[in-house]
Amino acid sequence: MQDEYELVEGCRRQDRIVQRQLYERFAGKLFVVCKRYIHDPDEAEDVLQDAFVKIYRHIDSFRFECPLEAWLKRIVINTALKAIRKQKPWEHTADIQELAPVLPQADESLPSLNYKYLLQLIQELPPGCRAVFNLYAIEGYNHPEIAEMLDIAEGTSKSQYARARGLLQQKLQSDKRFADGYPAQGRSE
Amino acid sequence: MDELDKNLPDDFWRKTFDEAAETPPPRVWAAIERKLDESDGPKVVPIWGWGPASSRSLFWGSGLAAAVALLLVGWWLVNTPSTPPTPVAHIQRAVPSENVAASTKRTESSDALSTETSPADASTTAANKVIASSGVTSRLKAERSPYNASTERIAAVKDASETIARNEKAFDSGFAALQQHIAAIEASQRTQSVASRMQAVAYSASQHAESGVQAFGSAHEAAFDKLSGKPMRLRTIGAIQRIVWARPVEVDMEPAMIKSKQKSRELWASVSMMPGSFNPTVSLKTAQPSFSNTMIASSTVSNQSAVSSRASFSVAYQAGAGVQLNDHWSVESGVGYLSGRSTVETPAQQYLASVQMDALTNRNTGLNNLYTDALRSSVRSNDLANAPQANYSGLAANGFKSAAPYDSRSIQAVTNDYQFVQVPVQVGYQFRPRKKLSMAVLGGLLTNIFVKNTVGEALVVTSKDGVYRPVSLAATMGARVRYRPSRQWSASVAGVYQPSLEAGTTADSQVQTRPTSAGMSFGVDYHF
Repeated sequence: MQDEYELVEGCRRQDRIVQRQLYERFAGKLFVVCKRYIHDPDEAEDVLQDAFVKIYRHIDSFRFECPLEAWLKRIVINTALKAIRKQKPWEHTADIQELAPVLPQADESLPSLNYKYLLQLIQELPPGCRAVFNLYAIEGYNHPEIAEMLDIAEGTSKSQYARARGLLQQKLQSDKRFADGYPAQGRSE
Repeated sequence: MDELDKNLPDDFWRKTFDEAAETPPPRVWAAIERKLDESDGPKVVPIWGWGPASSRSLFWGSGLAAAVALLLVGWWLVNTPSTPPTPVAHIQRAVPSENVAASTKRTESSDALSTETSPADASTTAANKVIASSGVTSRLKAERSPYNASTERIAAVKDASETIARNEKAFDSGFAALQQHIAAIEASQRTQSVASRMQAVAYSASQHAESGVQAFGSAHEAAFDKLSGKPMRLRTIGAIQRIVWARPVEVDMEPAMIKSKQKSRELWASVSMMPGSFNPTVSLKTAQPSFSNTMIASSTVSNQSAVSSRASFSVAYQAGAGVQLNDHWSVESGVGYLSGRSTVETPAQQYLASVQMDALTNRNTGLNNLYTDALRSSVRSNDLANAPQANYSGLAANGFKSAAPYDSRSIQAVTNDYQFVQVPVQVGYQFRPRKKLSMAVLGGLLTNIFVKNTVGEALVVTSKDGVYRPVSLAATMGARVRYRPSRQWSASVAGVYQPSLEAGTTADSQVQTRPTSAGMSFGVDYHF
């Protein structure tokens, strides 16, 4: 596997082949990150595209102070949040009761439960609380950090997370596989 | 905690998406590549949103300033006082320019205007009379083209009208009549011929010019005064006055492939220290034609092969710079200082063997020995008393320098402290280019510039003494491992071996050296 240092140096030289190698190595994971934040597939592709252009243009600012994947992920998340902010999701948050708990069509067997099923659940969330849920439950940020990132009040972050959790709870509880506890984890394709 | 949280572990979501991957469609990379290609071209940097202008307050401040500036300019334009119109300008406004233009255009087909036998001939004649009275007739006759005729007739109308304006009695009736005829001209544009219109104008002019002809005189000259400029006025809002189509200059498009990738060669500077060993490999010449100490040659107890040198600690400091020619090859150079110590074991003179024996090492520690005597003899001036370059510490004056034969059983250890200035030029080949941990093999030439050699801390031989070559060449070779944790800084460790390519002493010197050094170099590099 190609060394990260070599990849970064190649991108700094604007070597198109190395840029492609970087893309092929990380685009899969980062595309799922985009889809977690952006429901619309076309828009998620746009976010991924914008994020990679930013990555290539600002690769000089990467100083190997953290893993390359974490740096790339942070750029993708920031790009996605920027796209979400344009939609102003905080201004038209619908009531929880208005959102019908649409359960995705999942396979009956537990082992088949993979990230796609959960991704679909997350994508069904309203944009605002989807972002907060992603940042809190998956990326590991705390509420003050999320409030700063999204330019919202800390209380809003907490309430949005509670709301996301409530919606997911509704959906998951209707799935009998969750009645007894932790579901079998599926992995990526 | 609700039921869901109880059932799901804390990192359930994180673990689920930790390794999740989904290949994006190929069009994403195509779009990225397209954007990257676009960004490689010349950029148009907007004055806003860049650098210090990116702050929102500055953006709005700039907009406000621009709005205020526009308002001020608009206020100035609206309130600029217009200069009072001259009578000529007044008359010009009274005669719509479009009618004049129309009449001018229509005269193109009126070649027969002057010869036309219409009922207006009389009025034309009358107008000609007026013009003739003002001295213009001759010019009109000379230029018989229809355009000139109509233009001059209009001028005649102006002249006549001005005359009317100056004649208060005729003004009212004349101006009213002129307006009537102007209206008649407008009407005739649609229904009448150009000839009839011009005749009507000429007729009306002649009617009223006659009344003011006496006051005409030389006053018509004033009609050709310079027109005053019009003040600037804002155009009607919303009305498109004029559309100018402009085609921008096309820039020659260069194929992207032609763009040469101008990669800047990587440069670095380094400082290093190399502790190691230095061995001058001292020997004495077997044939000594110029050796003044005949005792050496004739002595049976002395043995030249007994003179030997042992390597001792040395340290070299070097500051250098290098340039990376491509991924693998580099060229390096620099300047350094080498302080190399060594010990020469040489037979001592028999006379001193008994008195200068070191009790502990069983070695003679005096400086009367084969090696130092050979050194002294190799100095350009063999007259030791007249050899100011060498510091013999009074030993030469002892008078027993060659008085006794050398005893190989009594070995004397003499320390040598060589000092060189070194200039290496070497080529490097990297095996792991552009990686954090890279390795390279190095090879090249080393120029050793001899400074001095201190023998036994008493005898100092410099390059001026003619014993050692001022400049000698050596080969340098080694392997280097470089760790580069950041873009700018790296640390390197190298193993270096530097054998000399030629003797370090002059050809006629009794002492022959061939220095060799080896060591480990530790350096810090800064990459530009």
